[in-house]
Amino acid sequence: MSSTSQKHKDFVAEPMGEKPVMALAGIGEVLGKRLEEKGFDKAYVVLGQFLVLKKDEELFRDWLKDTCGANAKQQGDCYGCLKEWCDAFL
Amino acid sequence: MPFVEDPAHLSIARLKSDLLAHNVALPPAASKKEVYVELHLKNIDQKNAAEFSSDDEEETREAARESSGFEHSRDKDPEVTQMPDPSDLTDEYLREALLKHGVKAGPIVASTRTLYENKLRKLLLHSNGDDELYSDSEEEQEKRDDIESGGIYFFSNRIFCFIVSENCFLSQLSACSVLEEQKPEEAKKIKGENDKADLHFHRRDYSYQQCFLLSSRLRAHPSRNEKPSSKSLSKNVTKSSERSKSKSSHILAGVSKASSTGQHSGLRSGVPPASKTVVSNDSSSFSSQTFSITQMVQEMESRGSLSDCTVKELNSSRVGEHCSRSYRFAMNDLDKSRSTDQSLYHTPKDVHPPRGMKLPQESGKPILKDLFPDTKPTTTGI
Repeated sequence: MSSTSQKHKDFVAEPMGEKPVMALAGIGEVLGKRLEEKGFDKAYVVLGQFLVLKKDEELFRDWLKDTCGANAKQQGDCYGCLKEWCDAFL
Repeated sequence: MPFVEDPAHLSIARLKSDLLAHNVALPPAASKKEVYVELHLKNIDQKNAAEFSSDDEEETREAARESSGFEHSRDKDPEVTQMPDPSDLTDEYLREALLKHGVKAGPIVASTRTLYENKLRKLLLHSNGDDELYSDSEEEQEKRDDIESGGIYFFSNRIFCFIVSENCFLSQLSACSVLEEQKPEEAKKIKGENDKADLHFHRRDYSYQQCFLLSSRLRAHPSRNEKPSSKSLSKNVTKSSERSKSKSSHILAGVSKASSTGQHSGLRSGVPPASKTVVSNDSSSFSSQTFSITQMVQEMESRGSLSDCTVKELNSSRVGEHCSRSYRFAMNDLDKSRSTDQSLYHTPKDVHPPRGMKLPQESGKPILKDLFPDTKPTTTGI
């Protein structure tokens, strides 16, 4: 499980609604910008990708790396927070 | 970009026919449209060289991930490569290819496709070259297992026969008793050398039961027997049946016991013994068993009974065929394991022929068929 960062807790605490992609744990300014450039402007769009990859960690990590160049920790944070969110709200 | 002439806007069928018209070898069936387009560009639209390169550039992003090896081979001759590069596969084929590697892919869409392509590429790299080795090793492993478990095979055969006997009539069972009685002498003749011989001896008894069971069926189909010895054999059986009805129950009871014993001994013998003496002991001890089985199989084959059965009697033939197959299996295993000692292999022959083993075995199949017309053959042969 990923860290218990404040960002992670905040994201997992409630439905994501229209939160921007940068609200995702592990996605900061830089990665968020890259993702937005590729059309992933909202957290739920990333969630959609996460789901369409069937919540597969390896594939999602690869995707995140390919898409915005996230490093291993960022990948893990993002995956963990989406996973936990899904467990709670899906 | 002159869109009108862009081959990317043509249908796959059109591209194919164009390529064929220009005598261009078609890429693998699973290939994506882009491959056709590429070929089309290369071979047909030579004049648009500039456009081609720019088009190529567009694809470099994808192509960059491709290993040069893949690219190279594909360019040389697309049909030679058995597996086209993942990026050339259609979504369906990509999914199938992944499934072959045990990956259950999710939806393959624009945003996921490259990920799955990469995954497949990884899998291919891992399994490439291992493929042959893998299958080979598997086969060999199987073979090795066969050899090592020769006893078990016998065991299973025996079980099969035992099941038969349980379902058979008492008279058929009685034949077993005869065998049992005659056995000891033979066994002594052949072996009686050491303690082990005793163990094997037991095993052999069981195998004989099996043989006689089959032979007892001869009576039911005398016409099938063309050998003179069949008469005496059937007589023997009849006599024994009268005498040994009481024994048959005993035999039945002993079946379970026998099977367990057989397994033990079979296992032991199956393990490649370190010393050769052990080997010879083992082989000779169950050589009688082998002999009957071998002969049976040989005769079956010579008579073409296998094929006959399959053609003639569908349902029943299956059982018979199955039985014979398993026997052959066992025989092969035995042959392999005993190949080191040929003389042993022959030992039983001298002893057994007088007993008319051939006949009973020959008729074994028809009886099996009669007995289990509805029985479905099991894969294990049990």
